[in-house]
Amino acid sequence: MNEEDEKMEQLDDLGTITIIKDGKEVECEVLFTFENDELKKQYIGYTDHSIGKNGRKNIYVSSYNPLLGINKLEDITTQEELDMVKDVLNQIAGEE
Amino acid sequence: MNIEEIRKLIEQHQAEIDHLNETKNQLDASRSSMTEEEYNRELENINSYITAEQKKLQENVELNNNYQSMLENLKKLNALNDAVPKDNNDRIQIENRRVILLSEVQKASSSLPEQLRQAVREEILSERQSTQENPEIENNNQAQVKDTDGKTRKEQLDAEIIRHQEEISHLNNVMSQLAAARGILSEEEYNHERENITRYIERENNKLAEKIKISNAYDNMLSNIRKLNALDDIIPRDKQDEEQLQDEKEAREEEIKKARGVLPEEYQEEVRNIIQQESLHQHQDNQQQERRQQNDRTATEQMLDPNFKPHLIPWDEYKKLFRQAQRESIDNEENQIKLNNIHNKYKSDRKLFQKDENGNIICYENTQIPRPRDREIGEDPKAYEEFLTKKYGPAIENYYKNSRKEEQTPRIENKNKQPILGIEERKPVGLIEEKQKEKPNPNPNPNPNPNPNPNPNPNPKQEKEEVRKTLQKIMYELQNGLEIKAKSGKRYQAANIKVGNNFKNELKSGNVWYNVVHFGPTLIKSAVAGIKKSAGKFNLWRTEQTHTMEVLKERIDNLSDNDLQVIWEEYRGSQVNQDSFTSALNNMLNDRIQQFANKKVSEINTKIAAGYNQIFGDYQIIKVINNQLENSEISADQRKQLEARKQALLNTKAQDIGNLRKLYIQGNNYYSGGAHGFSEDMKAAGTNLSKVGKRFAVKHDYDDELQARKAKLEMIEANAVRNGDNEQALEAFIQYEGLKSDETEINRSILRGGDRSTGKMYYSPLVGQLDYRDDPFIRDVFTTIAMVGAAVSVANSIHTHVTETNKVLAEQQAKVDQVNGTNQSTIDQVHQTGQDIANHRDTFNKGMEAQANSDAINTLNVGERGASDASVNSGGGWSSGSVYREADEIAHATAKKAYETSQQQIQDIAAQYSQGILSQAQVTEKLAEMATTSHQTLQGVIQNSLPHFQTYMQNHPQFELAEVGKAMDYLVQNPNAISDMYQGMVDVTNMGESLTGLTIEQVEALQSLPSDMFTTLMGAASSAALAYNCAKSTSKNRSSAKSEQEQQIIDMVSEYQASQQTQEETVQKSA
Repeated sequence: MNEEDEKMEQLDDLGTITIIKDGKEVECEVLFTFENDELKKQYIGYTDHSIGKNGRKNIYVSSYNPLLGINKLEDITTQEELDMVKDVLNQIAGEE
Repeated sequence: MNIEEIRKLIEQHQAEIDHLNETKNQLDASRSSMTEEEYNRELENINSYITAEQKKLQENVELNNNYQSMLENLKKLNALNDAVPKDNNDRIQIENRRVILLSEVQKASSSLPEQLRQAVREEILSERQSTQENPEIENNNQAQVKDTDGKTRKEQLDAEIIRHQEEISHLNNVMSQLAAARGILSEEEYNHERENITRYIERENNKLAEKIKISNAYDNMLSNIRKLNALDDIIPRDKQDEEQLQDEKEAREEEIKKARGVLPEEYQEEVRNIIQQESLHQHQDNQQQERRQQNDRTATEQMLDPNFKPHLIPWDEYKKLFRQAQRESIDNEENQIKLNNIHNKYKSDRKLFQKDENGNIICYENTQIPRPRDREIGEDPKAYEEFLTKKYGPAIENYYKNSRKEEQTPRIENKNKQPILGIEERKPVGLIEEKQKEKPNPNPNPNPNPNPNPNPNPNPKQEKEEVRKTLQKIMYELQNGLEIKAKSGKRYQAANIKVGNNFKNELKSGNVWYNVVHFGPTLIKSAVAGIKKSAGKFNLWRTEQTHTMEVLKERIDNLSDNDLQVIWEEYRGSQVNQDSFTSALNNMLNDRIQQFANKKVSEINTKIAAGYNQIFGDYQIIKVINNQLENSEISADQRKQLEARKQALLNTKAQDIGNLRKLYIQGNNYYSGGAHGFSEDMKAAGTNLSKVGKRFAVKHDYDDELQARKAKLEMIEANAVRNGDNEQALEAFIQYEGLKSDETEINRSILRGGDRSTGKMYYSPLVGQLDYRDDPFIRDVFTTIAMVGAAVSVANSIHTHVTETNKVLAEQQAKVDQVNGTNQSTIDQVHQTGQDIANHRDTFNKGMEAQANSDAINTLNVGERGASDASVNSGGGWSSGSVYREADEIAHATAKKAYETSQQQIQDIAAQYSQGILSQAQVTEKLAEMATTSHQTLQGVIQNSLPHFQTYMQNHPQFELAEVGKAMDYLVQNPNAISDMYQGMVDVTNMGESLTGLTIEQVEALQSLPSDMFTTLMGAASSAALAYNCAKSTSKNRSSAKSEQEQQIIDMVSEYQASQQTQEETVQKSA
């Protein structure tokens, strides 16, 4: 196992979550998860495989407080968190 | 006649009887047509036939029934033989049943001819044989120890032996009963039955003997293999023991051989399986026992044990143990710190074992302990551990013992060591040499005072000197053993990332594009268990990293002034980028260097203040002396003394003032240029916006091993230079340059495009050679930006200008010319600016930082707007009128806003790319998104403008604007027409050459458009031309002689490295 592998764990399947979107139940595929110890939050990236207006697949990134359980996903609110998400995506894409 | 023939006869008799009965019915039917006599005769004949057939049928049916009865009862008897009585009553019942059945068999047998009796017996025997053989056939198909009934072959064999014994016993009983019944049987029947029973008994005895033989061989083979295995575990105490052991083994092997000669293969296989399973169980038991012993202690206890030997544990297992210990110590910060210390120490030690780039084994520092080899793939961890323990255990143990001793022994300072001759302390640039006074005096005192306390040391000055550490050595000491990540010290850092393989592959391929969306609070209905996390683990990682940063900060805080001076002088500019240390280190160093610089500035200010005091004080005295000298009443002696004193005061003033000025410059260098410059260097390296272009180097975590090698080579080189050891200096220089060259691997990156270092360094032998111009994607960005503007312009050109009748232009030519004139001059200005930028590197740098050259475009926009407004305000213009003004205002305001937004977005995207935040793919994606948004805005503008424009058209029939309206309507009706064009931007990098023509063509077309909204877009087209020119000149600059010079040096190093490698390979082969 190299250092890169230590930082990121690859799994065949991260499972699914079913969210309530616009009053409807939508099953989404979980694409990635990570956590931040300073904010004490878990983050989850998932998709319902919907396609945006520009023809690209939509990924939703949300956070939740593990102390409260994964019953409610919160929006990512700060630029720092967004930067962290970008870092993670870059890391997944092998850019860092 | 056999039973099958009898059964056929029965069927035939039955058929004949049926036929006769039918004939009889026919006779009855035809009775009226015959005489009574004829009828009676025929009837009698038929009845006689029927009677005869019925008799034969009865006989054959009885034979068949008896045959069946004998057969069934014999089967039941056989079944009874297999029955194992539960108790005595059961046994009696079985015996009674057996007597009844035997009686039935005898009864049926007596009614059967011998041929059929024999047939019954053969059928029974055949069936017995098949039932005995079938299990064997099934068992042969299984290499298992037990069959489907859960019995081994041996157990089945033993059961069969018992059955045979019971059968023999039973047959003996039957024989006794036969003797008792002799009186009721004929002599012939008695003898016949007796012979049969005797034959059965004989056959059972034979089978019994054979199976007992197999059973004994089985037991013999099994027990002897077990004994042999047990003998293998015995370690003989002496020669005699060994001989006895050998004899015993041979005896056992002989027994096994004999047993094998008797045992059928399937039984041998079963024995082997049993032995194999026993070995496996024993091994598992041993492992479980070991595990139980290990599990008795927690991972934390094991790691914190003073006798813990991580180097004797395979790396993978060590990591598991460490992580387990971390989990266990989640609430114990003290243990966490201890564990992290152990982990960092072990990682540091472990790296010292690594091989170098040539595959040579690197030993511990100052030891000859080679690095143990890694565990090979598939190698048993236990075997590997044994290998380590036997081969390296003692040596490594000694190393650790020595290390502990060294840690306990206070370090001997360098100043107590013999100083190295020829070392001269270097001073920072701009500092006044404090040792100026010690410079050789051109007028030496002819009568020097003899030294009252002669120093026995022939070179007392050198005793105070310390060996100046090199930069790399200092950096190594700062970071040695610390696990500093590239992102250490960042505000927020993701941890424990888990990603699905499919998503990673998609993202990595770049073939699938995503929108990252984050929306408001969402309720989760259900989630897989896998993503539910415990919060407890959060604290651990932070503690380890925090601890690392604390250690690093402590080391930096404790840097000596000499070390800080080295960093101050050498860790500057391109060196910061070249070494690629982590931003955390650079940030902390910056803080410390700022303190250092402030301290130096403070010291210099003190000296300056003292100098000022001295000068102003002396000046006051000189003024007093001058006043006194003006007094004519003073004596000649007094005048002489005063003048002498004045001269003495003036004597060093020029030098003092010069020193004061130098001090000021020196202080200023420390403060403004130095401290500020250092800070800027760190900031540039941290944000990747450095002029040197660190963006193109890969970010790395701190590499302890590489830094150790750099520090070692640099120190060797520095010491050799100081000592004047030419040969060693040359050797160290070549090796050091080779190392840096090897670690700088300039490759074309797939991910971000362009040439950049994929190695661990970013080194160039010349200053500032590798910069952003090495990256072709910079040109691509410009081109892409240009394409966005060009695409918008093209769309407008096609749908607006081309479809618009030339009449509009003809009627308004004068006004348009005015606009065009303004535009053309502005465009010329832009192109001139572009040319200037291309010709001047500094200007180009600014252009680079300005990204999309927004200043030039804004100038264009404002200028055109002014011209347009002037045209409108002059009164006679075609665009006068409140309706048009209304439409124009809306369009202009919206377009301007959209344009500014686009400009800002382009700048943001380019800035993010230049900082390395965005990849090439992401830049293209974002530009495409931006273009889409711009297009949507354009659509909005047109939609909003269209009603006003239509009204305007109706009110101004003198203008044939219907085609313009159609064009606008076309755009509204075909919103995807331009969006589709944007998608082509992905391929834009190959379209650079054609862009020029496109842009120029577009500019010409746009010049005639009637609204400054479109002129705004024309600005984008001009921007495209500018960007393309910049890109082209960038490409030209890279082929300059300067880079060739650098390439020559790189080639020299590469050639040397290649020749060295060839030489080493030749030596190895010859060896």
